[in-house]
Amino acid sequence: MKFIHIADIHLGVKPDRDKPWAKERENHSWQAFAEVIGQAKEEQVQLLLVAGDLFHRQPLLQELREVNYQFSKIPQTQVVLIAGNHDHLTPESCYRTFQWEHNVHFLKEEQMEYIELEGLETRVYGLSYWHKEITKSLYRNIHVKEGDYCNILLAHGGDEKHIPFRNKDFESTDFDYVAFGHLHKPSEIVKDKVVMAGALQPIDCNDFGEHGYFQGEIEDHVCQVQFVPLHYCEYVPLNLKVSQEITQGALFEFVEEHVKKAPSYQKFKITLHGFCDWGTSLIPEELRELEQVVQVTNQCKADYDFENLKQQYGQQILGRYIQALEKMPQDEITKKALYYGVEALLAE
Amino acid sequence: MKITEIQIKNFGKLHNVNIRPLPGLNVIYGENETGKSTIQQFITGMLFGVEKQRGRAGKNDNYLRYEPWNSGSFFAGGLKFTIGEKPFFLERNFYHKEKSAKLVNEMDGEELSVEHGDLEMLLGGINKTAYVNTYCIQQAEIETKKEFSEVLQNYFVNVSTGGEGGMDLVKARNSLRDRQKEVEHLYREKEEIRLEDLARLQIEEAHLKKDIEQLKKQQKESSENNAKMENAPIPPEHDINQMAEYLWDMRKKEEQEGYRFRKRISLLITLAGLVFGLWNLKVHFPVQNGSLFWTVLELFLLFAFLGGLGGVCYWFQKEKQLKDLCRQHKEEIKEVNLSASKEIERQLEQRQQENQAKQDAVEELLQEQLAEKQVILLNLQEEIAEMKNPSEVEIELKKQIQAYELAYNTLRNLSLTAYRDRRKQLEQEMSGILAEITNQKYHWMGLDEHMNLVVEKGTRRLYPWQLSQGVMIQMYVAQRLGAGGIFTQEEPMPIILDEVFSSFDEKRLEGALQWLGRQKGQIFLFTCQRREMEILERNSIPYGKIMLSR
Repeated sequence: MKFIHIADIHLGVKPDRDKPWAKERENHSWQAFAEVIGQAKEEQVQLLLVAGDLFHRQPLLQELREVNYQFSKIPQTQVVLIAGNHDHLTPESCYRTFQWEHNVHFLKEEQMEYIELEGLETRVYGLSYWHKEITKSLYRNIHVKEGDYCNILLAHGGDEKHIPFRNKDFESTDFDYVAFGHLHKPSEIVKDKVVMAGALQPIDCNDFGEHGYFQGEIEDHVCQVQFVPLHYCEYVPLNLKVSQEITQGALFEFVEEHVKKAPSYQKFKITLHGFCDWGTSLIPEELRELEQVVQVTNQCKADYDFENLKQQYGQQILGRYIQALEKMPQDEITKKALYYGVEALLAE
Repeated sequence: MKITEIQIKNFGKLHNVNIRPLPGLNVIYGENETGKSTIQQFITGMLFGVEKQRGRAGKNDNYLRYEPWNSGSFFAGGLKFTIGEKPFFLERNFYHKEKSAKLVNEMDGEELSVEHGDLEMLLGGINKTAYVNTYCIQQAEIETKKEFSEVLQNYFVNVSTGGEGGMDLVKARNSLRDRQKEVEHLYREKEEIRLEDLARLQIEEAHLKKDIEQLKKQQKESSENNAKMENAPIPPEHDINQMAEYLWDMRKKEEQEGYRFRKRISLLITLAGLVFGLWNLKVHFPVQNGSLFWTVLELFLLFAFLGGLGGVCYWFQKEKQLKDLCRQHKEEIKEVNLSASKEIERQLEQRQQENQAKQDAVEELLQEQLAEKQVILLNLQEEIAEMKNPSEVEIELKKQIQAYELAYNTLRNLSLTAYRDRRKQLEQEMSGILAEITNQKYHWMGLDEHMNLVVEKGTRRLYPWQLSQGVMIQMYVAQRLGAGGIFTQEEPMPIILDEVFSSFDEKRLEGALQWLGRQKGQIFLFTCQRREMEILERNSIPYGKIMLSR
């Protein structure tokens, strides 16, 4: 049986809303979803698993119809879906009453249930979120019902507020395949068996790396999956270590060059670190304005040896300043203030 | 520090001038234009160098001002001095293309490096600004320059914390403030964008709420309409013509009445025929054979009786027929009525069903729209709630702002504490000097929060400008001398007094000179009047006399 496993499609999400490409990004979730449907048709996939957060927020009836229309284009594929934390089932949710196509199966119960798929000898287990958060480890110790079926768990969660679990919970599972959603980074928790599909496309600029879906095949309770990336958008972290010698102009040119070479779907999140003279000074605006640059963070620090400075300036204002700040609770702000103050005092 | 020899090789208008001052009080007398201020500038230049300003030369450019008149490239001099009994010889070439300085410890011949700050160290860490503002006291600039209050602050802090100067606290604090403002600006920019978006969403939310209200109203109206329609009377479409029926009824009743009347007449005739027939038979026939008349009469009466009887029967029959007809008709009507009402009921039901279906469709549509809008509203509210949270960038900027604030405040607190410690010391020193100059007339002087001088007279606190010129100068002199003592950790520097006593009267001048005479440090008193020398001589105060001439 061939199947496709997607999760966290977040239809309707609006990433990078303060960027010029915001409009474009709004369409990506729908485009990627449509591509998966096309792929399912082409590959004659028998089962499409949607592991929650199909929508970014509560789905509108209109949106459900649109999705249903997409599903109707693959009548030979059985679709099983659950609601995740983002599109959880509110009492008024359109999900509750919506009439799906005959090939679509929505596991909408709050408790674990399963659907038996005719012709596939397969049972898909799962539950839907009825609340934004579920802190109980609902996926621990689930056992499958008797019978010679291919058993699949369709699940959503993985952090402490959303059905937490530990990897070892699944080391000896009854299921032939566990299709997870929720965490946006795709990963195989247990190879070819327990898979976090990751977001179909990145939802915000912290979802680094490639995103896509898993395509696989289960034969005689043996499963094999393969990650298929989609390239509507990819956020790439660009960590640049700067040193005293690098000028702002050189830095700008380097980034410009780097971005130019990259494919157009890549967006860069730049972090500067290292030691430099202009440690805490503001980053040149041109860098932020560069096309395909989504964010610039400066974590550069001036190269200070505080112990040495303390000894050198002992009872002087600089030494006393360092001491005063070292006595304060060492949070991020204090640490920053230490640099800022020393920088200002040592400035020529 | 005591200057033992001033060797002016070429500086401004002076060439090859050698002066050997005494370690104590020296009076440098010269008329105007004899080079008194050139000597002052020479000393300052020797100690701190003369920098040629870049770019456009201003009138304050000391390099250009004292560039030798005869030769631009030979611009040099030397200075011999002792510090802690150690003799030093400092030579400088001021010429900007061959700028150099040589410092030699004359005791052991060791050459020290001016470049690496050896001279600065010998001078106790004082810089040019502080020196010019303290030890060099000129009448024209007697009022401390504005920046001096900053210099004072910096020095209070650095000196009191064992500093060697160099660290500019005020500048550091200002740069922290400037940075903070920059970041705040950026933060506000980012925040504004977000708040604009938020406002837009909130307007959208308000519109949506209105829409929902409207839909709810429509829904209510529609269901009320429905109820009304159900109660509405059904117009009689297929009813029987009641008017015609009524008329028909009336006519039949009249007809019946007619039959009944005729029946009754017939009955009367029958009875009359019977009674008169019997009477005639009894009276006229059994007794005597009746006449023809009576027989005819009898026959006539019999005939009347039979005819009447027939009439009764006939009309009775007729009436009965009519009655049956009426009954039949009524039944028919009843039937028609019954079937008509059934039809109406059926139609009514059908119409109701149609209405209901329409109504249901409308309501369903409304309900769907309402549900959809409510979901949109819910999503919008979620978005608004998210939007209310500052973005990642904003949080980072906020942290930076807080860090700048913390740095600034910490620095300020540190300098305040240090300043308070040091200020008392300065005030004591200044007050001592003032009391001495003014012959104990003023006992206390200090600084207000803006580093302005204040003096206590009785219980009043007075600012220099509230006092006479003479007292004012005395205060400034006291301040500078007091501050000078504090700024130099090492031996005090020579004090240069330039025409400061010109406004003093004899008595006050005498007091001031007596105090100067008691000082351990070296003092250069520049004057264009002879009275200082006269008073010194009169009071037998030892001093070095240096006479300048054109």
